[in-house]
Amino acid sequence: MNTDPELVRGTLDTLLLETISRGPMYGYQICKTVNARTDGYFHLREGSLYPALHKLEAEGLLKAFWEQADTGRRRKYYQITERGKTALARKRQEWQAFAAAVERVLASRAAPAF
Amino acid sequence: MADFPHARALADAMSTAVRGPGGLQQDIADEIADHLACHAEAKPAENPTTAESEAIRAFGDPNQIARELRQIHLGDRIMFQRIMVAALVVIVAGMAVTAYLSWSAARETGRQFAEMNRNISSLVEAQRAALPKPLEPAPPAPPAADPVRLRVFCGFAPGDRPAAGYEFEVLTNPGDRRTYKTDDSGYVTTEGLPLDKHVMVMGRVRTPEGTTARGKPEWTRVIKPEKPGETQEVRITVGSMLKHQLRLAIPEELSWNREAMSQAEVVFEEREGSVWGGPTRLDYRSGRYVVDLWKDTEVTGLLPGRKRAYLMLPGVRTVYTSHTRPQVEPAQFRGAWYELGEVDIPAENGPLSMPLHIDPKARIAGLLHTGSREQPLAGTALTLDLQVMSSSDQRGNFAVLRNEPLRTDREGRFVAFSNPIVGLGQDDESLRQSLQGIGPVPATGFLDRIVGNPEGAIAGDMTLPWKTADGEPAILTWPLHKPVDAVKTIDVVDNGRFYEVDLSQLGTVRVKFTGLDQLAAMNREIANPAVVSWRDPRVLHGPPRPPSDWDRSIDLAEETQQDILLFPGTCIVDVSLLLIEREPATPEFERHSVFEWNGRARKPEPALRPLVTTPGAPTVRLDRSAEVKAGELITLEIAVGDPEAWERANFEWHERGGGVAAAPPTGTRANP
Repeated sequence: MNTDPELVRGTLDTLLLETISRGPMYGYQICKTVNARTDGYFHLREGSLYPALHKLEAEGLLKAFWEQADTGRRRKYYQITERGKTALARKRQEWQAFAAAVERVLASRAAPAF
Repeated sequence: MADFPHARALADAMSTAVRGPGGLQQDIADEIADHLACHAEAKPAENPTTAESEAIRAFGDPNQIARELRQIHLGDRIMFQRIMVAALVVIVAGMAVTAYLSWSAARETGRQFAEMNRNISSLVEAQRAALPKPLEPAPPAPPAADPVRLRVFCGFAPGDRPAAGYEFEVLTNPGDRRTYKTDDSGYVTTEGLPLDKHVMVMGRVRTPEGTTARGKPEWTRVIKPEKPGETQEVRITVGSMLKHQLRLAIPEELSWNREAMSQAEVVFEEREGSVWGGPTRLDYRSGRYVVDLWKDTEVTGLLPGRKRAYLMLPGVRTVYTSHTRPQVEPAQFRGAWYELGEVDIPAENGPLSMPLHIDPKARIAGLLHTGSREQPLAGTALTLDLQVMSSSDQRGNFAVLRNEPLRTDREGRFVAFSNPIVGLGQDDESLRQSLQGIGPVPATGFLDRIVGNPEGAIAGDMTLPWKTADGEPAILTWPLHKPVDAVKTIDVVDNGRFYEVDLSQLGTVRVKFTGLDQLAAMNREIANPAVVSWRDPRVLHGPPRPPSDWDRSIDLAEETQQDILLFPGTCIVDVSLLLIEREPATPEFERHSVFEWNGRARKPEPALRPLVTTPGAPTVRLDRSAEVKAGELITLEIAVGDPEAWERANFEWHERGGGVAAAPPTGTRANP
């Protein structure tokens, strides 16, 4: 099943905020976690997460810091801000209301009992 | 730690394309390079170059990402620059008008000065004639560095047959993007490019056949011309016209039921996006070949050279049953498919045999017999069934890891694969070890990669169609993860597992439905087969079980009883029945109800008379539990027509005679 790109765009910020809300994470780690937790449903190309992460950072919902990884490379970590937590809570509520409304519509469709 | 120069070059090129301040470019380059290196390092067993190419391919379109990053970081600045440019245009226009007016005024003045200059010139000439001869003029400055060019050839193997009409892009510093298409000879030469690092990407290509193929990692090249005016040659083999007759050499010792399965899927790691024909059963999206296990299958398009080959056997699945099967990509092969090893693809048409080797440690072997080893069960079909379930998944979904049909040999023995094929990555050593006994194990790590849920469990069963002593068909479910007396598990010297199953130790539960003829009098009608399920009370709070393994559907229109073979011990039997109910009070409607058997087939009496009596069999008490003993038959009598034996679990109103759900009639409840 192909996922509607508009649906992906509309939910990616929420997925990222939710993922990063559990602790500071770096890009590759975020990418793997999101793909794993969604069962790869969105078929995200790995690079496509970076514009979204940078946008959230620019909006002040995430903040970033650099550390040196064990490999010696510089590594950028993202952390959710208080503003980001507030936004995430709001997005959660919006999504749950939206999903519940859609579910109600779909559930009203005729179906056999057994 | 491996070095990944191509990944670094791509990261540098992308950061340059963003065209931001130096610090920002460095940060972006470091972040992307770290990502690509992490991806490549996640495949420690792979060749670093292959892993790097895969990381680049998985990253996506670098141009698109660079554009989006540029917009995010420089969006305001770009707008400011545009405003500045507009203002500059106005200023320049104003200056031009002013300049024209000045020029007109100056022209007259110039005419007057020209006369004066002529006079001065004659004086200067006279002065020059009096001076010594001037020096030779300086040599002209060297011409600017000549731009470099790329001469690209795309061809098919064997023999480099030209691939015409293939498109590719060249990403140049600083961030330009140019598209080219090969001519009939397979060649194209670019126009002049700056003397700098370039990334050549052949992503999606449009072929003359009009088919779109996916790009391959090895089609992406980082090119760094070093000499001005140089023309660099690049050759890319985009495909193959070779034909091979592929055959899998299956060891005879494996007990796969060849009647139940005849096809498998084979994937070559560098075989992707074939567009050059091939057998009709080739899945173009994933590049899989569906091959007949027992005969040759013609495959086309394999590039010559060493390739890593993977096998997926019928019945072996690696995805949630509730999800669309995902497109398996090479990066996932290690975790999901059995690796056949490396295969040399010859550069000529012909047979290609791929042996399937089995590590002795990777075997499940067993023996089925009825009471003594002198009475083996020869030629008996059984199924190895391994499933994984996520306990936190509210829908109770299961991933079927294996559902492999087996058949015992003449001595009642069977041999199957063990852990390497159940969908585990080679790098996941701890989980592989925990699966040695095929026990229920937390699926942390594994599930995280495969189905995205770290809180699942794996359970294993064998199911065995069987007949009871009096010839009734039955199905035995043999829980591999739970010790049962009738199954001896022996660790053999090669660390494999050997199961010896004595089927004479089985007991039989006969589920018998009575009172069906009373339903009509009660305005009731059977809607669907009854479902009988059983469970071990000891595992009530253990890992959830796949319903299919512990449920049996009985179509009461066809049969009223079924025998279930179980190992000795206590089991709890649940029965659900789906009925259509019609009542005079609501003539326009009918109620579709799920009834669950509560075990009280008869009201208990003070003397506690037996509910069901089978000569020579144990008594079944007034609950749903049964004590199964070896070699014995017990009967559970399910009185369909006894209202007190059933509880309505839920129902739904329908229009009478139709399948359409309806709102509940006035004055009735929506739920029980």
